[in-house]
Amino acid sequence: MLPMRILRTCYTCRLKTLSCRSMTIVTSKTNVIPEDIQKLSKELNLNNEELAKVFNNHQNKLRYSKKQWLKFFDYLSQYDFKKSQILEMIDSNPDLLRVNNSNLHKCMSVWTNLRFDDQKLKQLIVNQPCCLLLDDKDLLSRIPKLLAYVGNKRNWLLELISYSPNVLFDSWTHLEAKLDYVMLNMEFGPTQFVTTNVMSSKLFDIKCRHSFLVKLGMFKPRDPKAEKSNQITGNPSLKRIMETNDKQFAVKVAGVTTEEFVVYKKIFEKQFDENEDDSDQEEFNLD
Amino acid sequence: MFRKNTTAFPTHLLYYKHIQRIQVRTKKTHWALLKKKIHPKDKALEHFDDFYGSVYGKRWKSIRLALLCPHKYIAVVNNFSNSEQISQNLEWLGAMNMRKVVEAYTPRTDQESPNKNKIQNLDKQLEKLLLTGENKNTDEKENNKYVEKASLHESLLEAECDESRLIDPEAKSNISGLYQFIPTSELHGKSDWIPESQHYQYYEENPDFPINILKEKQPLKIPPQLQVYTFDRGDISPFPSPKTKSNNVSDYYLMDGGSILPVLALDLKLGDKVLDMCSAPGGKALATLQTLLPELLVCNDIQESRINKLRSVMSEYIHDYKSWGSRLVFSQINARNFYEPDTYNKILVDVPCTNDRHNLNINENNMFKSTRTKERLKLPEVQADILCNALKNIVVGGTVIYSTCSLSPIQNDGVVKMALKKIWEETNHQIVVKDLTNQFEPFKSLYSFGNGLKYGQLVIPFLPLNYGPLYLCKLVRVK
Repeated sequence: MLPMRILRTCYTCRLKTLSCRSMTIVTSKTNVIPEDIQKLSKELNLNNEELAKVFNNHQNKLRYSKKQWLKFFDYLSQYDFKKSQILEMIDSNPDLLRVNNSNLHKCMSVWTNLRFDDQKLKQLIVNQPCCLLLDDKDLLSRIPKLLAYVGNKRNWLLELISYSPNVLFDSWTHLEAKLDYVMLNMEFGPTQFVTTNVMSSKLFDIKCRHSFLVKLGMFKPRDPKAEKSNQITGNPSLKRIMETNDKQFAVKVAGVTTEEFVVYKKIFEKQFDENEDDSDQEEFNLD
Repeated sequence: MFRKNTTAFPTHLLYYKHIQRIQVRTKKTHWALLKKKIHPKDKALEHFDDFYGSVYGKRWKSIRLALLCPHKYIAVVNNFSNSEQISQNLEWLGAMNMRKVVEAYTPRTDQESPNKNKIQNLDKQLEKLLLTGENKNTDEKENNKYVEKASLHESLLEAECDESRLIDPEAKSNISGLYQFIPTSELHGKSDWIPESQHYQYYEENPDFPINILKEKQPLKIPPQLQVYTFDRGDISPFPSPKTKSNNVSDYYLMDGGSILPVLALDLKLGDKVLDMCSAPGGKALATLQTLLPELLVCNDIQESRINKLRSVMSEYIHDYKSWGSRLVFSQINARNFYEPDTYNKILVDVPCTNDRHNLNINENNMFKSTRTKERLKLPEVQADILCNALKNIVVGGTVIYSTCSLSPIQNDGVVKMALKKIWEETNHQIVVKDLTNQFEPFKSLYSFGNGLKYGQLVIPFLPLNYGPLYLCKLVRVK
């Protein structure tokens, strides 16, 4: 009978040999890099394996001409983006290579002219490369509208976009309805909603979870006459309300059973649809 | 004059598209004023949060949610229409017959019973071994066997009085002090106001008079003709509004799921004489008639408008109900003064109450209007009087079902206790409270029942089973 210590070392050694074997298989597979990728990586001055990995991730989506690759890398390098960052951006959004150079130029010039902090803007573009897919006119009209909601603070706006980039793409009426609901009905300020992905969820979900908590008596409106020092409402934070799945929300945030929330969702959906039908009817009558 | 004006008015302007709406903002419709306004239902919510929050603890928020959401209905099939066809239609809609739920439960209990009996026998043997006859728990005995307990008058006759402590009214020296002027020592201002929940603190849990509580051993029987349909747990599908068929009566009656329980608890038998003391709007009375069992049903209410409502319901569901003559009677008497002793063997007392669900959702006819505060605070007293009167009217061996649609323990167990105390003080009637816990066991999959009640059963609103609130207590006159 082996002592326990020896047995443990034997076991770990076996595991190591196993992992080594699998590593060799992986490396041997990645070692076979097509010639065209090798050539492209040379011209772009990139690591072979990294580029191959990106190609591997997206298969046929990156079949653009060498010219397009070079143009895109050259253009963004002008704005101090590192090559590894550009590759990272392509990896997360391969559609970037499809963008027309003039459009890209227009978009980048709008971003730079909006007087954001350079470093933070760069970080945002690296994290959310979809920001470069926007039309310059849309961007110019959307940013001032959003700035009005975040108290004209540019850093907050960048944070909002980084958490929910869809604020740049969604229709303004839908977005406005969500922003108004969060600010006026839920009484959350920009400090709370810019650091959550609440704007990427549907208005139905926001309303449903909020009204659920209101009916449970767990979400109370702020008292307008209360002193500023005593403004702790005891309401759950927006992060806890919106960034949890149904089960976590029902059990941990609301403190009831999941079954109750599921049934409530059904009831609310019905009411929500009826209200929408009514508003559509009203609009029709007004026309 | 009016006709001339309309003809002179250009017809195209009458078309709604051309009429301009001008919104006039008066002081009353200003948003700031509307936001500030406290409606009766807001007051009700505030009161319930304060009161029920302390009574139900953590469970209150779940109840609150269910009360603020639309409740579930049950459909009572109208036997005076084409009942078979209606039942089939309801089953096609996905509704389930309540009778089948109860029947599905009963065989299981039959299978379990031999095992249970074995276990009980073993327990008894163990008890015999461990305990001597003196140490046996007397409480259990009290629960299972009826022990006659003397009324106040009888006990006073037997009591010995300490005559030395009686004050002689003719000795003026003692009483004169009572008529002297005493200046006020304390003034109560607004700061001394107490929350309403504390108003009810006179409700004591331990009664100072004997109460007999017996377990109902008979299994629940749904009358064979009564067809009740409901949707399954968590299913929020609505019943379509009932249609009128060829004989001019509606298909089914829709009512809150809890409201059928008092009718089932009445345990109706053929030839019963039933009195519904506070009958309007008539759901329970109609369900009683749908059993086709009672020989006589008297529907009583205090207001003419409520009696009219009752009549309209009956005419909607029973073809030519007027021809029923003395079998279906409407009376308009204050239930506190109703006096027809030893006539009825089943009395349903669905008293006026705070009607929690209604008061939380609708401002009209709301008990929490500031003008109705006195009426609301007097409710337990009125309820106790009505129940007491019912207990005085019931025949020996008859059943009284007391029910409310409130969650308040004062209006429920509190009122039962008050009425029993009154009966003990004023009459020689022997009343037994029937514990329906075992009888309602088959309904546990359909209703969410409250725990820890002393005398009755309480259907607590729970969103997947959103019925009630409904409290009911079964009282039987033994002597």
